Amino acid sequence: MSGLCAKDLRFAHPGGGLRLQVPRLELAAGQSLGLLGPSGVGKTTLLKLLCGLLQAQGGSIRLGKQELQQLTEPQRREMRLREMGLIFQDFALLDYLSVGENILLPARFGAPADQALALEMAGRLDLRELWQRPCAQLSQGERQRVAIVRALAHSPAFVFADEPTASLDVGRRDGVMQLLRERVCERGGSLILITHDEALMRGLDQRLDLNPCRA
Amino acid sequence: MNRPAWFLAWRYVATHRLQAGLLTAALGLVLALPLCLHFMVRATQQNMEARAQGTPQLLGARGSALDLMLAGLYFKRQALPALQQRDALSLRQSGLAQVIPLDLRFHAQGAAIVGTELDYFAFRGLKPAQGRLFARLGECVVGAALAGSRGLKVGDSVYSSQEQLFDLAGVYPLKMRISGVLAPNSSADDEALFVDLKTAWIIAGMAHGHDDVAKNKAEQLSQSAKHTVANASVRTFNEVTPDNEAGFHFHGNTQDYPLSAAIVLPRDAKAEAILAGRFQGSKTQAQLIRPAEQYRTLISTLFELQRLSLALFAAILLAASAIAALVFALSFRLRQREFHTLTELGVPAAALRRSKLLEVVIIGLMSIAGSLILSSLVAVLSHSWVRWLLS
Repeated sequence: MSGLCAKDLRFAHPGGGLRLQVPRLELAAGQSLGLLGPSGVGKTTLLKLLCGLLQAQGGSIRLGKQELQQLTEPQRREMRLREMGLIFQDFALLDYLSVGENILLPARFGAPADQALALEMAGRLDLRELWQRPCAQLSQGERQRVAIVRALAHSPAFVFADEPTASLDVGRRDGVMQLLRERVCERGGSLILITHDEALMRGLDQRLDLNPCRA
Repeated sequence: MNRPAWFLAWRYVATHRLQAGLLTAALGLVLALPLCLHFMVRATQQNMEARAQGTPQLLGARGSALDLMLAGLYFKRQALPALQQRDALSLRQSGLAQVIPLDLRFHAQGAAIVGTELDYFAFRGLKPAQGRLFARLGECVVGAALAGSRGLKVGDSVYSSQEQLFDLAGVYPLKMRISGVLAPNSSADDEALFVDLKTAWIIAGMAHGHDDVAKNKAEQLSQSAKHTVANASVRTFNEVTPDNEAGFHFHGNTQDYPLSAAIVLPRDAKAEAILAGRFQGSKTQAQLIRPAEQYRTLISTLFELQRLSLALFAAILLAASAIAALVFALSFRLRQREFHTLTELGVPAAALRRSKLLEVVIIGLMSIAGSLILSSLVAVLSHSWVRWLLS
């Protein structure tokens, strides 16, 4: 695993919305990066560019040995499925599936997930007893923890997390960060996350402030 | 990649089982309607055909030939104009045909009481599975299906139904003893109760039995050499027993007694043609019909109706399919976020398309299965329903 590198990244929403420019962004394997900035500055857009959910109008993004811009849409999907873990702000769970089914959903479509590992991580985040419960019956905090375990169940090389602890109390927040560091950074993966939590930010290796005044 | 698509589709349908069930039921019903209609028409055809073909001619009072056939062959409740016993007797005396009289005016426990003669059983090939055929006044023989559904057996008694509640001088229920239960023959006979013609006349009040008013002076109002007038305290018997059987008597000329119809079995083809000619354009009050001809007219009308119904069902099916397509389209639109999530996670577009398609396939297959189950049920029950509809 050889980290993430983005150069001369340019993006503008169709219709003249947000404009984003990132001259250079590098993150070594085993490192974590926090994206900072006020709402609407483009943190989520940058995260989506880095994981291939959005296409940049210019520049390049390299994830490990893959040039993201050179991949076709099916190849990018395959890469997201196998090598990335995504934690969305709205958790993006399927309400008609159980906790276990949601966590192992990427595995059904070919992600190299390990059920024993998923169960172990679910245990660490107090989700074992909820394994069979439909996600529609979960609280916000429980849904967030399910989304985290789903993102980590296939031991991805890159984890992109949008406010992964927003719905958690302090104790659980620390537990989640510990798990993210163990399962991503200590295994040579890269962790990129958006947070407004300064305490969380302090534990990260790098930070990128997208505030236009400070950029 | 098919298995995960199946998994997603099935889990969605299983979780939303009420909505899926409603859609399945609606589509299944629309699919089942033409099949059910086909089975009902086929059952009607099979039930009516053998009996119509097996009954050469039917004598009845002038009126609707179709009503006469439905009543005479299938014991359908019809208010037939009355035929006189003398019409049947004169036909019998002509020597051209065997005549089996039928009195179909009365009912017991919802089933038709068929007043007839023993020849009827020989003609229809009916044999008792238990007991024997009727031999005395007041006895009856019960069809197999009727006995089964009402739990009737030899030695039990049944009452004829009171036909007019407010007619105090009219028909009173007669208690009839069951002498036998017929073996089933998959026809209207299974649902009927058979009595001797004279017993039917007792039910009709044309024959009766009562206390001997000549002996009991207290019941007499006046007495002459020819007549005795009794008061209302005279007991009329509502059951024929060995003790009172001899006291039952007929009033008036039995040749004037009414019949509903009579089965006519011509001696040969020539006799059949002679009889048909005798009643064609006849100015008598009776008509002689060929049930097979009436059956063909009825069944061709039924087929026409079936064809018309099938065209209507095709239009309904088209409309139902369009509504189902709209339901799926709206459902998929409402679930855009879910499909977006799967895309973001990296699920291939083809697998997503397959998952949507499989949801439609699952609902479609369940609808087809439902329609087949419903149709099979109708196919199994159609014969008894048709017999019930005809009775």
